[in-house]
Amino acid sequence: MSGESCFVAHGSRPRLFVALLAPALLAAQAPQPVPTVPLAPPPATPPAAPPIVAPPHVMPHLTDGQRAQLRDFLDTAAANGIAASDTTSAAPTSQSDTALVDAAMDYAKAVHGGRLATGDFQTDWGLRPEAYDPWTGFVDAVQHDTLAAWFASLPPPYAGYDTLKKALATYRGIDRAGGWPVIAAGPDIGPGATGDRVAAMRERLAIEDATLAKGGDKYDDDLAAAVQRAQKRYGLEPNGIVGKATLAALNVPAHDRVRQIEANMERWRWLPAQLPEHRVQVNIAAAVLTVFDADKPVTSMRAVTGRPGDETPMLSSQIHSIVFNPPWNVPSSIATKELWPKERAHPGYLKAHGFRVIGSGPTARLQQNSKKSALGKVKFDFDNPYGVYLHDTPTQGTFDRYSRLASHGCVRLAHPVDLAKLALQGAPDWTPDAIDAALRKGDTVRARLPEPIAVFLLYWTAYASADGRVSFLGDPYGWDGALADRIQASANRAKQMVAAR
Amino acid sequence: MRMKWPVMAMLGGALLLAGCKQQHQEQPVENQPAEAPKPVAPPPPPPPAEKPKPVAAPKPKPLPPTPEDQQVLDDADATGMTARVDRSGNASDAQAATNREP
Repeated sequence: MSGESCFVAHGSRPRLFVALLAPALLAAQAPQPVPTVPLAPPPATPPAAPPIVAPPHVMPHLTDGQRAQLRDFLDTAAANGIAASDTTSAAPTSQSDTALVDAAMDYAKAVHGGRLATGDFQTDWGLRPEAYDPWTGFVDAVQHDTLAAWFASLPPPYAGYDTLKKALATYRGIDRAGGWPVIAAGPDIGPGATGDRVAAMRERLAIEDATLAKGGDKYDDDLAAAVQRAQKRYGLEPNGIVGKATLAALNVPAHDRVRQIEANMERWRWLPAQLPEHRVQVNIAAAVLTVFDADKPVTSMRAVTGRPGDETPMLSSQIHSIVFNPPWNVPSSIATKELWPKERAHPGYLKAHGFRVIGSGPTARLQQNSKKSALGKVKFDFDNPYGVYLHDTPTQGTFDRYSRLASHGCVRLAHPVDLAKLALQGAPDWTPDAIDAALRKGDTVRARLPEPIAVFLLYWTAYASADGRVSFLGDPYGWDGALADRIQASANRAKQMVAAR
Repeated sequence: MRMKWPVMAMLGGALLLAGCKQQHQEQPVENQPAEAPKPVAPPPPPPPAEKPKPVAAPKPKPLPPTPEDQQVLDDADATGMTARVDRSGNASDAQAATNREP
């Protein structure tokens, strides 16, 4: 694939990608019934592969204590945000061991690797959970009477999941208690203001911010500080003035916040259980990049991610090389929609901006030379079916904004040279001086990394700190609501399937 | 259109009143010289009301700049700080052991 087109491919490649992944993931996701002995062999595998005969699942003998443990385990469905819509438990109504174990297997898979089935994923949700079959671990836990330890091992082994789980309980409580008051629309509210809207705002903020005293209708220093804290938690500019964006964030109903937390917990379940210690993580929604070394954050920078309609996909991959002074091979969609119309409106536009036409006829394409390239001076290549990558940009002004979703799907970086020097540490030919020299010279050069670096493009819109402070970002792509709906639908389906067996 | 008597009477009364007033002004006051009054300079127009000076709305104190180390940590939170949790010791099966059937 071309590594120099910057756009999100919504065409055939993602479908091919999904098609390639589908068999393995389907095998991993489809709930496996737990039959009693003897078992028929599984259906024939595809003809090209040698037949695989899975060992039959022999139902282990359960003690009464283990049955109770399994039911307790299934009762945690709501706490993990994956209960069916009319219940808080994933336990079956049937008292049979088969139904109980069936439900436990389905639930264990969901807690470990996500509630969504393969077919529930959007094309641009390219971060998929690893295949997981809970059966072997379950049987072992029954035989050694270590079910509690087995249950505990299932959720994503990350603090981010645990803090969100606590937040889910907190926000469910707020939701059950009636949520928070809606602050009426009106002029911006700032220091010195008084009245009903200020009183409502104080009451609203105090529900999430225990340090703010309730009562009063004056916008005093305490309230200003609370507004600034809230703005930080919502990813807004902490200016202490309640304008439209702050008001909109404050007026998101508590129930929607619950769904937002559930969606983000599901995304944690899609991450691998073991992340590489050296990696790059991007939060697409926040447009921020962090570099982790030895599992610790060592540097971070602002980014610009895809605007709504040109969404940056969620994915994981490996950065294998860096291109200095890259030309930009313009995707045909951008050429057709944006560049050729500009050329027609202002003849000479393309030449003035360093574009040239390569080829002729229907296969003709545009390339922008490296001196004027929209990719700036540095591009980080990693394989992915969407045609996206990290790169520099000549338009640095965008990084000063609080909302930085403005690209065609690629991730633009505020300090790409710093990241390049970090990534090429240990490469004898690519010392920091050599990198600077290559940039100055202006030739297009590709530098291979001594070791590929894992890169994760993630979409986090809710995260919580250990002290219980929960940050909610906007959901620019509308993915939270879509995911929460699919989690619910999948949980409902699972409940019906277990009941039908 | 015909005007009704009461309305005409009111209008007539109003005209009479107006006429009385005019007549009264035109009669010189007794013992007053009949010279034309000196023109009196009109009183100076009242000074235009001062427009209220715009009062700058007080602004909240800006937040202190975030130290770089803290910013990296904040960004790490936002990108999914993946601190690992040890899941091996979270649950005890001691309770389960007591429930084991003989």
